[in-house]
Amino acid sequence: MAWNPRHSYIWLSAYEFSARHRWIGIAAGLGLVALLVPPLTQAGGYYGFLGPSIPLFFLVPMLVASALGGRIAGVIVSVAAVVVWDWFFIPPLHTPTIYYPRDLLALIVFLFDALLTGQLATIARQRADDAIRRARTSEALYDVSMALIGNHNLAAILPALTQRLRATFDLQASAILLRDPHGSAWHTAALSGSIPDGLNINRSRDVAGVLSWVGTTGQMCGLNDGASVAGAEYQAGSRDKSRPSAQFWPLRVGDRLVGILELIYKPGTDLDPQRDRLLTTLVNGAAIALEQERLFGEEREAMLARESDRLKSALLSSVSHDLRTPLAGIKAASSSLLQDDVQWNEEDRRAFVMDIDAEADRLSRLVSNLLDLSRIEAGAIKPARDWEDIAELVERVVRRLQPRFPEHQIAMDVAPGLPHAYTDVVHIEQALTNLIENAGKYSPGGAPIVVAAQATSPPDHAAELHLSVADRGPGIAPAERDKIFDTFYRIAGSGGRTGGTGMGLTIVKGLVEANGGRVELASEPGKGSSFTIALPLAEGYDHKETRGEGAAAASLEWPS
Amino acid sequence: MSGPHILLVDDEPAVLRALRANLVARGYEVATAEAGEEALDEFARRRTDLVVLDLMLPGMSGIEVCEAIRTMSAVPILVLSARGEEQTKVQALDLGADDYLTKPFGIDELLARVRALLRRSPSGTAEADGILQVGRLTLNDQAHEVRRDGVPLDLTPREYDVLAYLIRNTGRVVTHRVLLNAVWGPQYGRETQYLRVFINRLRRKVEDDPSHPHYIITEPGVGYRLVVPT
Repeated sequence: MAWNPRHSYIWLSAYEFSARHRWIGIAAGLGLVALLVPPLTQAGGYYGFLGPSIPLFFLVPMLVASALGGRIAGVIVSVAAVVVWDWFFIPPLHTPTIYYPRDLLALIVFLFDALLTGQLATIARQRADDAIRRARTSEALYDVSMALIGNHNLAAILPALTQRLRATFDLQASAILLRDPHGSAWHTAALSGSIPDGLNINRSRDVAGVLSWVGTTGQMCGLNDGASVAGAEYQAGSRDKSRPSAQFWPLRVGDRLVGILELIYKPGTDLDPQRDRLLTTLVNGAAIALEQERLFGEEREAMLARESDRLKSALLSSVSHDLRTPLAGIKAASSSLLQDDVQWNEEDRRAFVMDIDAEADRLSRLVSNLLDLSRIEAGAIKPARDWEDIAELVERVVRRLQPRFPEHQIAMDVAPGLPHAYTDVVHIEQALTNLIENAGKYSPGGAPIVVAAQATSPPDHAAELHLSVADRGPGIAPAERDKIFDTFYRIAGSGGRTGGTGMGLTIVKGLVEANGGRVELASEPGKGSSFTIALPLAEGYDHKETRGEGAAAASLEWPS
Repeated sequence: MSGPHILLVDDEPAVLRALRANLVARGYEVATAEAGEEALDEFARRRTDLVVLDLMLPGMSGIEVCEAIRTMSAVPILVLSARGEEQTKVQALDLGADDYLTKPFGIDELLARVRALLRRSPSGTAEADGILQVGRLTLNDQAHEVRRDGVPLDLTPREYDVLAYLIRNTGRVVTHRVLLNAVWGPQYGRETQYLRVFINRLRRKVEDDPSHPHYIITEPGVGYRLVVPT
């Protein structure tokens, strides 16, 4: 059912404030006039010792009325005072007629004086009020601005803003509503205090209707709690002061609606135009802050996009260079072998073939790395886990890699009685291979590489199997330690000679994490680095049925 | 007498090994270097008739090596680059490299380029009388004319300048920038559109079939090269 704004009411500038105060002024003035009559009569009236001063006494209620109730109250009380004065104190008494012309003159002068002083009193009162309001305004503005400036983070601005607004205006609640990024639904982005159900966007369909109306017209709209669109309990333009009520302020920058501010007034709160003016200012500030934040967000996103573009082109140039380098070697060697005009001797021929072989291996490693990487980045790694003998795995990998690194001795330090781990053997083998290859690439010739495996069971931690590769390379500076796991990241100055592609560690991390483990790094610049693959041991205890008896016995011995 | 001296600069052992074996087998004297600084040392130490220079080197870049060699000598430089490094390649040619090969390449291709560059280099100054013969084209610098089969071509002064520059650099890759600088001046260094128009007009006057040029060959994204049709 469509929401009709006529069922709600819109607060414009018709406020109870001035009317109420006018009546107070009039009542006070008339009361004082009435109070003055008996004592002045007692004092002898027109002929008594206070006779000439009577008009001065009547100025007092008129001033009080002007100050409390404004100009109109002043005029009414002045006229009343003149009538009362004439009736009770000007001869002939108790008649509207005036005997002496001088009294008529006094009366006229009094009325003139009264109106003039009333006017001055009203102005003075207004000025005082203005000053107080201005002071309050600047305080509130300052308060809220402090919430708005200070940070460029929506998550921090909005709660601070709603909190300040609630405190400054003594509200039951204040909330900022934002449009969902996709679609036109509204949600509460920040809330301070509690919103009654009837005014809550998630509970009341009326609120949704009001919001869309505010959004379309760009005008502030009020709503009483419990107001029902279908019912006729309330009329357009009235506010039910006995219940909580809400104001919905559009937050706009130019023609753009960036959000809506919802203020929930406590029952009995008086509204005044001054507050609305102040709110308008604050609402503008909040809108600008929101818009600014949105722009910051867009800027951040653009930066991220640029960064990802840069990464992509770095990737492309890195990969294309790395793919072409072995190809160039293969092409050079194979086309040499095809030369008709040269008779290669056996040694040359063998060198060419070995180059082709080695470069083809290099290319194949690169391609499988790329495939692994794309699977990891696509989240498509599916470990085929089983109970595996890690000691055997270590030996296999070391035996396979040792010939490729004749300059380094790859030492094994495998703890006896190592439990089996529930993991994908191919993944862990690949991860360990990459770590050993890295160690070989970055270590100076002759430095040993140590591959260690042991089970740990720290008291505060589940049992783990630690598989580590330690080298005596240049080490990794603390600032680089997080980045080295990023795709295609290579430590500056290390790329050329080592021929790294920046994929190895990303793959290690991806494979190990897919198997429920993690990779840790300990490094001391100048001395070396140690990468540790930590695999969970306890996790697999639920899967006992999948392993053989012997393996079960071995792993149940650990930890005791 | 030993053959021409060639300096090979590349950091890939497999490529270096194959090039070296092939060049040695053809009677060239070959020195090798795996890094820029080493290459400049070699270049300073011995006679070099041709440099084969990989642009992707660790440490000192191939561009820097190319620039350093050009300040010392006009020796022909053949640069090796990979696809995706077009910018670097053009930069090297702008700096005075003579020709380029894109990796991966076959040995035949390399040998052909090496032969062409070496053939060109000693005769490059043999224009004492200001007359240069390239295939059916004859450049007469003093007369400011180019003849084709003895018939003078009807060229505007600018067209003559472009053609004369290409003829004087026969076999070399002349980049857009180098050609624009030489003929129009440095402020026109980027106006490759200009060049395209001029080259098309020149081809109509020089080539038998302007749509299948045999003299003025386009090097895509790089520039032009005037070759002697075979």
